[in-house]
Amino acid sequence: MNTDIIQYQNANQSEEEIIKNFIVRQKEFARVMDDIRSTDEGSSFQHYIFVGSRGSGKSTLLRRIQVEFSLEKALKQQYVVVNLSEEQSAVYKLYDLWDYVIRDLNAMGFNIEKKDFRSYAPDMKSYTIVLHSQIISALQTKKKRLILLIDNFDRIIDSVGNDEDASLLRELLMNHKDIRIIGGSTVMSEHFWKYDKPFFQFFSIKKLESLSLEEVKKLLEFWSDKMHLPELAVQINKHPGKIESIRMLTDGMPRTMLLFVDMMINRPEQNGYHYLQLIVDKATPIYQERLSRLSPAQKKVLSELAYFWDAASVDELIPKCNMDGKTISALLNQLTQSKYVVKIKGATKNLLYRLEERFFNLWFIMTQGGIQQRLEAKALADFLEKWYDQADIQPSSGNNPYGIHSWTDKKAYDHWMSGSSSDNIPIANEVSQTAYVSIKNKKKTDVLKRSDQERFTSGFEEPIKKAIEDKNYVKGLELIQNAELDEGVRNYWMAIYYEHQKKFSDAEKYYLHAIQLGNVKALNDLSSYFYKQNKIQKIRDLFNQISKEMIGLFLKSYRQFAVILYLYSGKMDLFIKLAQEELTADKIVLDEFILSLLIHKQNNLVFNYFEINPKAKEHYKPLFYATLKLKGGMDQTLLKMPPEISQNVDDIISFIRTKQDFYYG
Amino acid sequence: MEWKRPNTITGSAAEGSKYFRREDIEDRLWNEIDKNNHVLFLAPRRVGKSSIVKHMAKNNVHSFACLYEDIESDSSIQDFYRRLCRMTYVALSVVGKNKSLLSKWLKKWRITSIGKEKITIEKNDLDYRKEFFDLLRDLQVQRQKIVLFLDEFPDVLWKIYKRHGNDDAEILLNDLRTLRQTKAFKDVFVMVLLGSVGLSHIVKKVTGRADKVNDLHKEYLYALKPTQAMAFLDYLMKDATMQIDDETKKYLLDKIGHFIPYYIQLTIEECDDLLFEEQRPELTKPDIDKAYKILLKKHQYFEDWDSRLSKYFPHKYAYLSEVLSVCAANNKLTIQEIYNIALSHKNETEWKADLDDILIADGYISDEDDQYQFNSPFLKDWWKSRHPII
Ligand SMILES: Nc1ncnc2c1ncn2[C@@H]1O[C@H](COP(=O)(O)OP(=O)(O)OP(=O)(O)O)[C@@H](O)[C@H]1O
Ligand SMILES: [Mg+2]
Repeated sequence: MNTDIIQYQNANQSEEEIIKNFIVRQKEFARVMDDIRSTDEGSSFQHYIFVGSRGSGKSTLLRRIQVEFSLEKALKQQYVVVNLSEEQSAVYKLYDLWDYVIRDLNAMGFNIEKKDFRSYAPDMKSYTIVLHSQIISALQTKKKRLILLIDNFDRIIDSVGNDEDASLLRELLMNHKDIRIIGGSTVMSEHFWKYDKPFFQFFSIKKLESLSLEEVKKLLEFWSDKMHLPELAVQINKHPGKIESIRMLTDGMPRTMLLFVDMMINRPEQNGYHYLQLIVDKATPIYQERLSRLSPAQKKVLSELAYFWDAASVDELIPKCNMDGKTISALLNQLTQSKYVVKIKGATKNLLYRLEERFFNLWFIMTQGGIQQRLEAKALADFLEKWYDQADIQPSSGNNPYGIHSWTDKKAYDHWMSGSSSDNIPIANEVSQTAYVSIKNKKKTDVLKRSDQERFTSGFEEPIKKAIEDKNYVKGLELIQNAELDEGVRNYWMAIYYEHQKKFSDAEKYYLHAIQLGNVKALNDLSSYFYKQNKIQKIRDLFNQISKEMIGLFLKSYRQFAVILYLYSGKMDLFIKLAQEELTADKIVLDEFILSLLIHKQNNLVFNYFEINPKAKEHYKPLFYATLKLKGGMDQTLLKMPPEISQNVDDIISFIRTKQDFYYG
Repeated sequence: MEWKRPNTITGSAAEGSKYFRREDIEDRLWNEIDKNNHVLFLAPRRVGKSSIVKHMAKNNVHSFACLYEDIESDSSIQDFYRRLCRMTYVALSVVGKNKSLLSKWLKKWRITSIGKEKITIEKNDLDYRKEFFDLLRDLQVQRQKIVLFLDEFPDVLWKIYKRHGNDDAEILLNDLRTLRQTKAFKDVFVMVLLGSVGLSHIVKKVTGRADKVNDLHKEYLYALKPTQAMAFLDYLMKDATMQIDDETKKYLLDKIGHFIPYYIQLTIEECDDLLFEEQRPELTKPDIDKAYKILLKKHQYFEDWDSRLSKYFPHKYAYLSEVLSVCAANNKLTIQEIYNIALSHKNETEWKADLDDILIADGYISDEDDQYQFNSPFLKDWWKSRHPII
C-alpha cells in the first residue's frame, strides 16, 4: 500500500471528494453556513477571518465553503463565489484584488469590461474604486451577491505601510452590502485589534486551533476506512499515547496530523518518537525556507532560544549567543515583530521569550540540536507516549494513567502478566532506557537479570502464563504442579493462578509461601498489591514477618519501590536515608518513583532533586513543571513552561490529586 | 436537534433585522435635524453609531432626502466635496423630484450610474468645492432638504491635515462654519458627522484652538441602560434555541458590567457556541463564566494597550496606569478621584488633557454622567489582573 494521502488531498479533487474528505473543522464550517443561510436581505453581512498557522486547514475550509455554494440550489441562486486561493499570490494591492475578482467573474460568464490602469495612474485610488463599482454593478445586474474567499487576507491589508487600502476597503464594505468576505490569515494581524486601525473589531475572528485527540482519531478512522486498513483504527485505540505524544509536540495541525496518518499507513509499527522523526524530516524544507529569510545574527539568536526549549530571558541567552544584552534584545524584537518569537511578560520586569510556533522549536531541537537536545526530545516523546498509552480512560477524567497503582486496572495487569522478569513491572523497573543511566547501575541490573533467570526457568513459565491468560485454569494448574520448578517459583505461580481468578485470600497464602521460600518477586507483587489497595497495616505486618536477608534482597531488586513503601508506611528515617541515595546529581530515577514521591507529598524533595540534577529536569520536563505547580509560588519560573506540555502537566497534577485522595482521603 | 442561532452580528454595523432600535438617540438626532442643526455624533468605537444612522438614513419618515456613507478614504478637499456632490445627487434622485436639476449635473459632471442608487462622477477637472456650493444655491430654489450622514468624519479632517497641511484643513473647518451659520444653506442642507475620536481633539492639533467646532451641536452615544440591555438580550435571543432565564440574564450583564452592544453580542455568541457543541439549550451561570473566560483569552492583545502607554508617555505612565487600575478595580471612577490620583503623581497641569487626549481619545475609557468606565469589559478585566491594586 503506497498511497500518499497528502498528495491525494492536494490533487484536484472533485466536489464530492472535497465534501467526503472534509473531516475536521466541521464546527467552523457549520457556523459560517448557518449564518449565511439565515442572513436575510437587508441585514448586515458578517465577515469572517479564520486565523490559523500554516496547515491549520484554512484553504480546505474555504474550499469546502465554496463547494457548498455550488451544490445548494438556493445558495447558488443568490450568490456567486470567488475563491482567491493561496496560489494567487499576485494580490498585493486592493486593485489587484478587485482585478482578480473581475477576472474570475468574467470566467464565470460575467462581462465586465477591462479598464486600463494607465488612464487613471497615478491616481490608483480612483482606479480601485472604479474596479469595485464595476463589480457591484455587474452583481446588481445579475441580482447576485458575492462571497469573496481570500486565503491570505493579512497580506492584502499588510501590503502597504500605511492604512490607505485598509481604510478604503472598510469604506467600501460599509457602504455596499454586495460583498461578503470570508478570509484566512496566518497571523492575528494588528489590523484586527488595534483601536486606531480601520478594521478594529470589524471581522468575526475564528481561530483554527490544534486538533483535539478526538478529531485526530476521527481523521484516522476515516482514512483507515477509506484505505481499507481496519487494523489502523484498532491500533490507535490501543495505543493512543502515540497520537497524543505527536499531537502535542507538533502543534496538532491538520496537515501534520494527516502526514502522521499517512505514515501510519505506509510505515506501520513504529514507536511515537520514530514517527516524530519522520514528520520532522518532512517539515525541513518549510522551516529551512523560513530560516533563510533571517539574517545570520537573527538565526543565531533564534537557534539558541530554540535549544532552551523553555522560555528564556536575555540574560540566559548572553553566554549562549556570545553577544551583549542590547544586541540580543534588539534581535529578539525584530524576531517578535516578524512573529518568529513571542514575548512573555511576568510580574517582574524581566521579559521571557520563546519561539511562537512550537513545532518549529521541536524541529530545531531534533534536526539542528546536539545529542543532548535530541535525547531530551526523545525523553519527552517517550514520556508522553507512555503516559497516554497507559491511560485506560482519558486521564483528565481522573483515571489512573500508570495503572500500577490500581490492582484492578486491566492494562497494568496485562502488562505485568506479559513479563517474565522484574524489568516489566513498572515500579521496579531499574532499566531506564536512557543514556543517562550510569554504567554502575546498568551492571547491577544485568546481574539482577541473570539471577532472575536462574530462578525462573522461563521455558516452563511461558505455557503457564499463557494458560492463565487464556483462562484455561485446569491446564494452568496442571502445568504448575507438574513442571520442573523451584518451589518458590511454583508457589508464586499458584498465587498468580488464584489471583487471576480473583481468589485473593488464596493468592495471598501462596504469595507468603513463596516469600518464605525466598522468592523476592512474590514479595514485590504482594506488597504492591497491598500498596495499591492502601492496606498499610498489611504491609507493616508483612515486613515485620520476613527475614533480614529477604529485605536485603528486596532492596537490591526493587529498590525504588522499597523506598516508596518506607515513605508510605511512615518509616521516615529509613526513607530519608535511602531516598538521598537515590536522588543524586548524576542519576535519573524512574518516573514512577518521582510520581509516587509527589503523591506522598514530597514536593520539596523532588524539587531539590531537580535543582541538583538539571539533566533529570530536562529529562522529565512535565514532571518538573508539575512539581513547580504543586509547590506553588514559583510563578515566574512557571512562565517558562513550553505550552505544548501544559495539558500533560495538568493531567499529571490531576492524577496526583486523585491518588492523594485515595491514600489520604 | 435543529439549532437556531441567536440573531447576533459582531463587527459590521447592525442593519435590518440585526439592528436593535435605539429610539431615544434616534429621536434626539432627528430633533436636531428638524431644527436644521448640523450634528456631531460622538462615541468611542464599536458603541453603535454607524448602526443607528444607517437605520435613520434608510427609514426616514420626513420629507428629507437622506443618505449615509462611510467617508474614511477621503484625503483631500476635492475628494470630500466630490463625494458631497455625488451623495446629494443620489439622495435627490431617490426622492424622484427635481428632474431638471439632476440632468443638469448629470451632464456637467459626467455621471454614470452603476446599479441601483449608485453612481460615479467621471469628470475630474472641476473644482467640486465650488460645484457643491453652487449646488446648494440651486437647492434653495427647489426647497428640497438634504440630510447627509458622514461616517468617520474626523479621520478625513486628520488625513487632509496630514497630507495637505493645515491650510486645507482650515478651509474645511471654515466651510463647516459657513454651512452652519448661513441660514440659506442650513435650510436645505444638514450634515450629521460621526466620529470616534473627539473632533475637537483633532481640531486642536490642526488650529491650535478648539473653538472652531465648539458651536457644532454634539450628541453623545452612551452604553445601554440596564433595562435596555435586558431588552437587547431578549432581542438577540428571540427564536434562538438557547434559553436563558431572567436571573441568568442579570448574571451575564453583571459580568459584562458596561453595556456596549458589541460586547453583549460577543458574549452571547460565545455562549451559543458553547451550548451548541453540547447540544444543550439551557444557559447556566457556569457556562457564562466559561464563555467569558474563553473570550478573554481570545482578546489577549491587551499587552499592546499597556505597552503603548509606557512607550509613548513614559513620564505620564504612572499616572495613566493608576487611573486605569483604580477604574478597573472599582468599575467606575469619578473626575474627583482622578484629580486626586493626578496630585499624587504631581500632574496638576496636564491631568485633564492627558485624560481626554490619551485615555479617552485612544479608546481606553469614556465618560458618562461624570463617571469614567472602560469601554471594553475584556480590557478592564485584563487590566485588573495585570495591575492589581494592593
Ligand atoms: N443597535 C444595535 N443593534 C445591534 N447591535 C449593535 C447595535 N449597535 C451596535 N451593535 C454592535 O456593535 C457593533 C459595532 O456597531 P457599529 O459599527 O454601529 O459601531 P460604531 O460606533 O460605528 O463603531 P466604529 O467607531 O468602529 O465605526 C456591531 O457589529 C454590533 O455587534
Ligand atoms: Mg462606525
